[in-house]
Amino acid sequence: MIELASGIPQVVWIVPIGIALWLVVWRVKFEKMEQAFGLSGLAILVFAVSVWWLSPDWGALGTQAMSFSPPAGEPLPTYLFYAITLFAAAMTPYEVFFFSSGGLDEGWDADMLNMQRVNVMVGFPLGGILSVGIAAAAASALLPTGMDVETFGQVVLPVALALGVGGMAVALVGFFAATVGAALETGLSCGYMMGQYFGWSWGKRLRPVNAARFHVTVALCLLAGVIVVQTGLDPILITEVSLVFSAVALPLTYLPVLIVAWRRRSSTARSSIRTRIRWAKWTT
Amino acid sequence: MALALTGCSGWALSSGSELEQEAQKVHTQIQVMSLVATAARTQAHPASNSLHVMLDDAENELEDNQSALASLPADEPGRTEILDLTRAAFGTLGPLRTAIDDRDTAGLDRLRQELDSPPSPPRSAASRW
Repeated sequence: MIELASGIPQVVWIVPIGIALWLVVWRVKFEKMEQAFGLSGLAILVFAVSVWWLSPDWGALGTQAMSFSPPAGEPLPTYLFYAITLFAAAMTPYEVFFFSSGGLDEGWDADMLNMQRVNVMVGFPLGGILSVGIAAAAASALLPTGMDVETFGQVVLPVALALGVGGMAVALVGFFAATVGAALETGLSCGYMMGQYFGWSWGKRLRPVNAARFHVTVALCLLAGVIVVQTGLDPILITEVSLVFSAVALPLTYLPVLIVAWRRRSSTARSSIRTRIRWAKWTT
Repeated sequence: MALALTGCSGWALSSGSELEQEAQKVHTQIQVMSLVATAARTQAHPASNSLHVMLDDAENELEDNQSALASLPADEPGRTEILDLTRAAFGTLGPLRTAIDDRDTAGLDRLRQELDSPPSPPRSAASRW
């Protein structure tokens, strides 16, 4: 996307961006990271706005959105593959490690629970709206042409058609923020996982001298990402393959969380029943 | 399960004969060029960097398509027509870049019309045309 904005080949940008990411992870506080990249990511809303400019057939768009079957000519395995990867993309396992460990790292306590609930209740639907906006813009501008979307430039074409250079610049800012945010999350979650598994002292809040192995792990993960991208492998293909493995790891990640949540709810319910029985005995 | 999904993805991404896949890729690049021409036509100040990068991507892809098509058996039905279409798309790239740089709206319109009505290859080779 930087290549799209600057015209300079992406290979030139990989190392500087990698170093910049490492500096952000090391020096910038959680709160600043969340505010800067979270708010900038909202720029992706430009896709939803561009759908209005493209004046699609709203009826057909609604039918496509509500249809749970492959479109005409699309093989079922292709449809299922994208359905599964979409599901995996929305619930990637690293997010569980990142948010649970990041919560500890940032010093969340019970008082912040309500705010986090609001974050989830508002943030996840908002993310869904952003995704639907991208899909709707692509369905309006690209689907009728029968083309396959293969490059990043093709993804922003609907915005370029609807809103011109200004809209495309906003879309690129949004994608940059979302991509940098994801890179920071994955880098940190690698450090969290390794730190917790091996029993190291871990946390972004700790200075490198106090959590050297955690900080080195995060730096090495970012370096690994730089090396993989530098090989010239198609990043979209890498993402698709990684989402396949995410889909496999999904039940292993969420099942323990669901079991713990269910047990806690059950114990709360049991406690409530005990209280009612005591109340009934007392009244009789 | 990972292997099954990977196999599924491989099948999903490679359905159809090699010629059909190449025809679809050429079709995609022609559509990209047409949309780029439309975007450049509709905006007062073309984002020439971004549009040129999109055209560079299309050129690279067309080069790959040309190599792949050249390696297919010469007597395969539809191969020659798709190869001609790829060459025609190549020929349009230069004038399209110039028209974007010059903000030549009449030239962009003409090129878009050319791209939107390419010579049709046989249905058996390119079912999506």
